[in-house]
Amino acid sequence: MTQDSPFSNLQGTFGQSTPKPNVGGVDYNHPQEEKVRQAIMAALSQTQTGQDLLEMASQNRVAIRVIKAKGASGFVPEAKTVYIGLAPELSTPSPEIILDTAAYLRQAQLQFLGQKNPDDSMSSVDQAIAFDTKILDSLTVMCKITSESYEKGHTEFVDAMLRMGHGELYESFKRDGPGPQMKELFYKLYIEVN
Amino acid sequence: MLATNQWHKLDRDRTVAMIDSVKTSGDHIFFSLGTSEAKCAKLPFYKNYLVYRLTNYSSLPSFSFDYIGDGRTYHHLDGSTTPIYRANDSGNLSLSAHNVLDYISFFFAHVSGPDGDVYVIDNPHDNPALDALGPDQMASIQAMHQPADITMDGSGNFVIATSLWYLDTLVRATVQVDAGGRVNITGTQMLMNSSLDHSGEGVNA
Repeated sequence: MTQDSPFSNLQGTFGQSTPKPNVGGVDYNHPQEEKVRQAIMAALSQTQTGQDLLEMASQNRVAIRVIKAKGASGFVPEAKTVYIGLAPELSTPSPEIILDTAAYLRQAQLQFLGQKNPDDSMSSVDQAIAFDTKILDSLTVMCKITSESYEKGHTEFVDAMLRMGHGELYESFKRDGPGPQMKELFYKLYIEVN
Repeated sequence: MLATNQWHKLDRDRTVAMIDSVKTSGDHIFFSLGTSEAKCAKLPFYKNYLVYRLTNYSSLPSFSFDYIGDGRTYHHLDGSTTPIYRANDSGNLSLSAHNVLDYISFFFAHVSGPDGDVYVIDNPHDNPALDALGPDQMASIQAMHQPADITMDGSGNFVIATSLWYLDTLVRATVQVDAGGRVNITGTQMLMNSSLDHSGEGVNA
């Protein structure tokens, strides 16, 4: 492998051989939280949909917090916070993380609009409908941001959607808009197979 | 993820104790008893440690943190090597040729690579990392994939030649694991070109 190979960074020892001692319980704070948070917000603000979501978050005092975690992200209603997980050694949010943040901000917005998350007070059918509706809504927001960014000449969100397995859904969004065709495809791809 | 498909739900008392043990001293609120569930699973390479998963179902989709611990002390799997190496240094690691592939699968499932996630591909037919690929790409991977080869070097390190999925590409890597579970990738070879059209023109963008 040559040093300019895309895999050269992968080679070598992972992490410090002697880990730092565990002092004072679990520390979830990301060491570069503010830098990462600013990068996420800057990326979202490049599209109209992202700007609208950030404005909604500001108006409703929804916090965006970056924590040390791998793959653990989401809007936690009890904390009125969107938590974004990123490994402590990393300080650059991937396009996937930026799209996820948009989806979680949308989840917060839906909560404020009165669309409850599925809970035990609902029948199983109503739970399923509430779940599917909110997930499809978040995916639509991700498609909108991807499309708006692509129209400005940026392709990183398109690639991210492909990596996340949402390529077909995005194609449907581009072709037919966020209508019944996209909903039908959503059920075919994400619900019926499970 | 290998060997952790047998999750066991913790009862209410143990869930309360776990939430209390892993709560932060700061201002984060991740889990509360009413909306959260805790479960655990055995790992074949630890003697007295289990993997624990705390999930908050009030978030949509649900929001989970993973830990390794002994039921009293928990190491939050935060994407770095630190919690795994701390657990290894507690004397509970028991690596063998039979479980070292499980170990590196677990390791890379919980440690971020420098430029993206790394997935050990043991069985290409059953790996969530490859779910997004189309039939042609899956056929290429199945054609290129080779089973893992596990040997030991003269220093007592395990040397595993295995397929990895990294940067949307199948890579054959040589991974060295020492007795303390420290992981070192000593060689990589690309087996196929990237699965993505990075121009963004691969779909009707």
